[in-house]
Amino acid sequence: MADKDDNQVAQNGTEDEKPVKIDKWDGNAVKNALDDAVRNFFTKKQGFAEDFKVMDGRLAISTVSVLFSLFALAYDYLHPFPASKWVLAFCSVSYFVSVGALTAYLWWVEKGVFLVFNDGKTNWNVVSGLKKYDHIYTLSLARQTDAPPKAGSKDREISKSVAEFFDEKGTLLTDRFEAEVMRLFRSVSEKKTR
Amino acid sequence: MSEAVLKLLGADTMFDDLKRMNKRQVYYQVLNFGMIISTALMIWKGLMVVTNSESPIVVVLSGSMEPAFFRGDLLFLTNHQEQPIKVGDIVVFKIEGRDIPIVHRVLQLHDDGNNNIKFLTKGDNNWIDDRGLYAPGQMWLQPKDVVGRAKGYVPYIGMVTIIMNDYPRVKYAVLVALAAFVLLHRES
Repeated sequence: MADKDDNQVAQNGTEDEKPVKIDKWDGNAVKNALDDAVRNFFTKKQGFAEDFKVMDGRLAISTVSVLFSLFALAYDYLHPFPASKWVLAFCSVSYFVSVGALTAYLWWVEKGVFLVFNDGKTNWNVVSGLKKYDHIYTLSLARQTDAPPKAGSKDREISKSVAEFFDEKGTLLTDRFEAEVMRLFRSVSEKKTR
Repeated sequence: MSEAVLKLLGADTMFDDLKRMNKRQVYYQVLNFGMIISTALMIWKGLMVVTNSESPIVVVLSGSMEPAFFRGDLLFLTNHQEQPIKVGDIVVFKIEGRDIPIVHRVLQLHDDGNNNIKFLTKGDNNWIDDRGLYAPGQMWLQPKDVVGRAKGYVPYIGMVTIIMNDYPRVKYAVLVALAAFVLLHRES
């Protein structure tokens, strides 16, 4: 069942169907709204469990960075400079190293995957893209066990204009969008896995 | 009217965005905010270590060093003890018991050969030396009073700091607005 901690679930187990309305000209808000709808679709509507490992990795590295900085702040407060010189030097360098590690993690491990869910058998990676000032939203689904997609292959991704899923006021047309996502999911699940 | 302003700032849908986020995403927003602050903080502390000065960047508050420095100039300081203080150096020093640093020039210096150094300072634009500014009974400054020596400067930029300190409400308003923006704005 969907994680009880997640927002947006009202009492008595009924879904909060308040329509999602965003500023249609804000590319960031559009992508976030679509990504949220995808997450909502797979976790709440389909009832799949979300796998948080990749996200947790990112949170852990970020937390470590901030901890270095907080430690430096506290130590410097208790033992003012210049007594804290070496601690500050160490924390400062460590902070930037861990930010570098975070960037590396985002680049090589996360790779744009914003959602990982498990349909009971395998884990699926979901990647989305919306270029700045562009209107084409791409969504691709792949099992974690599948080989990476061949360049240009279109069998596991959809590219649609965001105009198909939002009305003039900026309300997300959830049914339409979910139908597209469902279609993509069905077509990818039916393909034979290696 | 206020609705139009909020819409312009993108703030009318901001809270809806927040409500749709799960715990991890909210935590990430907080972490993001923390990382921005930490980056600024670590750069500042890093500068402190590299320059050996407790305040590597200071703002000139008075006109006592004109025409070299004007009120509002930003000064970059280093405080490497290996470089001895010389007459003519522009030093930033703090008088014991007071926290506002002063930027003046070294006028006279005594060194007894055993690394006991005493020096007197004066602002270029002042009529008299700084003895009147020192603590009661104090006639000389020592290297321990020095925050750093000026190694470079950028004109005018420090006026922002001066304005923020003269009108604290402006400072708090700007800080709160920035914090709110970073915390509420979701990046992809």
